[in-house]
Amino acid sequence: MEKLYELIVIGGGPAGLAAACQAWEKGLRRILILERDSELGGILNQCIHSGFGLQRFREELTGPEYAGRFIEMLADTGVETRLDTMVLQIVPGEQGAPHQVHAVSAKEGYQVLETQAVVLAMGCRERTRGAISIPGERPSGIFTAGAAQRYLNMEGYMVGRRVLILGSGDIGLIMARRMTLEGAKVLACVELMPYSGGLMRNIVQCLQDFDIPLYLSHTITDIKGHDRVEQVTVSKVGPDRRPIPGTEMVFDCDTVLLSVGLIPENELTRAAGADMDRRTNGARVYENMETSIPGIFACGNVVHVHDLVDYVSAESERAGAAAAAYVQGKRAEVNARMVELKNGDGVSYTVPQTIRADEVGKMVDVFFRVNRVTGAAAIAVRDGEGNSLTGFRRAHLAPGEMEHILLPGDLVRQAAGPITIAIEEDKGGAAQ
Amino acid sequence: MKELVCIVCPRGCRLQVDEENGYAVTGNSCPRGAEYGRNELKNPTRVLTTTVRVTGGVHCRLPVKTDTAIPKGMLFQAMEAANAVCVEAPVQPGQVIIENLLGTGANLIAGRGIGKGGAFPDTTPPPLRGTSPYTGEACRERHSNSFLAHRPQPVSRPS
Repeated sequence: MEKLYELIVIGGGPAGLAAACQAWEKGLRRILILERDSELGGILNQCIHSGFGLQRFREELTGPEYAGRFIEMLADTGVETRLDTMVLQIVPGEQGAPHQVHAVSAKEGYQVLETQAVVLAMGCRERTRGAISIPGERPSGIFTAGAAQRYLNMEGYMVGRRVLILGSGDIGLIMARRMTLEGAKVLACVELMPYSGGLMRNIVQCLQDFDIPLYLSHTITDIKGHDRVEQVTVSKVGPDRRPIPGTEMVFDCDTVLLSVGLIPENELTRAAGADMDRRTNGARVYENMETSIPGIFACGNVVHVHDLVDYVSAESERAGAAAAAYVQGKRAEVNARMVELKNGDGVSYTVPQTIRADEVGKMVDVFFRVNRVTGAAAIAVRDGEGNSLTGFRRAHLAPGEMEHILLPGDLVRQAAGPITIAIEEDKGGAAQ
Repeated sequence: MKELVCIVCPRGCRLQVDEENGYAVTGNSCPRGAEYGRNELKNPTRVLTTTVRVTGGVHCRLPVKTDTAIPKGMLFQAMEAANAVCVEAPVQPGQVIIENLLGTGANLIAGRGIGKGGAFPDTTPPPLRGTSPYTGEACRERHSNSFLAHRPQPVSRPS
């Protein structure tokens, strides 16, 4: 057995980097990052477009530049990293005993590492054709948008010449522009829902700038091609999201890119036995990003999928700081009073799911997504008896844009029963 | 009056720009939005991000960007210029790859550093690797077994 680490961070992307830096800042000195790629930075390395860091650094950076800032910060610390290393299993320690992390790499072989705390920062992966069951033949030329992004931006392969994009998530929109600039013809972007899943600015600068049509309430109903994609049929869908016969459009193309959602990558989390949230596909977390297993924390896209890396960094710093506090002996009471956060009307999930009332500081960060597009609306926060605790006004809300509110700690401490967060589109009665 | 969505930040403010009234902008929540609204009607510009070929490094593509926005109408010309370039590793972050790109005053700069490395050692352009089976075009951009080159060598199983 090797030395005992204070903290092992699983994943060297934006979440893992921020968590490790923050834990170092808070005084931990035996920190290890395990990363399966051959370099740090994670998915940011292939996101060569700009728009990162506007919140955090007040300037517009590209993905590699944003990652570079954190990699530089990390270089000033004594945090160890092991690259090309795949974590296979986390065995939680019983009753405060060290956790075990099993990992494997070509260089070091099978490793069993012991640590007092773990930060899970594995990120997410893309939903594939199999996940959404697109009918039709099975030729080559169907990629997830992120896979195509890696081929094009890092490996130097052009993945196709005539492209159709299914889904209007941000990666799909970014790839529409990228493929167009590289000389491909992007025929259309097709979205099942009546609204886009991506940020408005990406619709403008990636589609409208290049006259690429966006078909809302449409989906792919057939793919033809023997070796390579040759033809794709797109149909309009009704309010029930079922294709409407007679509305078919046929596109001659050689490539289909899928941007149809991201799934937090939680095999390790599940196997370790952490309580999961079916709404986020991530672990259930407390206000300090601790999972149901004491000493195991989670942050970034492995908890819930974010739109902006700036928020990932901020959330991960909270996880890193909490992991440091845990190692330094500031552990949560076993019988702490729990306040559940519930999603009411119009809200699909909340992170954190539970707040330990006695642990909260002045403010609690709460992130959530809405499940429909609204105009001006109030975010209503109510206690178990339906009394309004506080409210927040928004000019518009959309599922593609994560919402963030700060709940005053005193409010949470005094709340009777679970707190419900809901959208109220009415005349503003709830907002105060 | 023209309606625009601001692309300066993820907030996506809905702007109204009054061309007849000195390009007065309303609907913005910050001064950068007002500037964007004015420019978008008078002289729309964009920051270009793309990649250029790099040889002798641990990667075969180097992400680059223009250090200031360039006229939107010149994006494709700028892409041609970037695709004609091949740099040699090592590359420093921020290194100027093309100075004063197409006379715009913007420099094309490296978005990251790339160290010298074994994965892509050859400094000669890769040979044409035949024609693409699905487009019929010559595959100039293909790099030989870039995936395989990344793979670590097999090692003996731990006992």
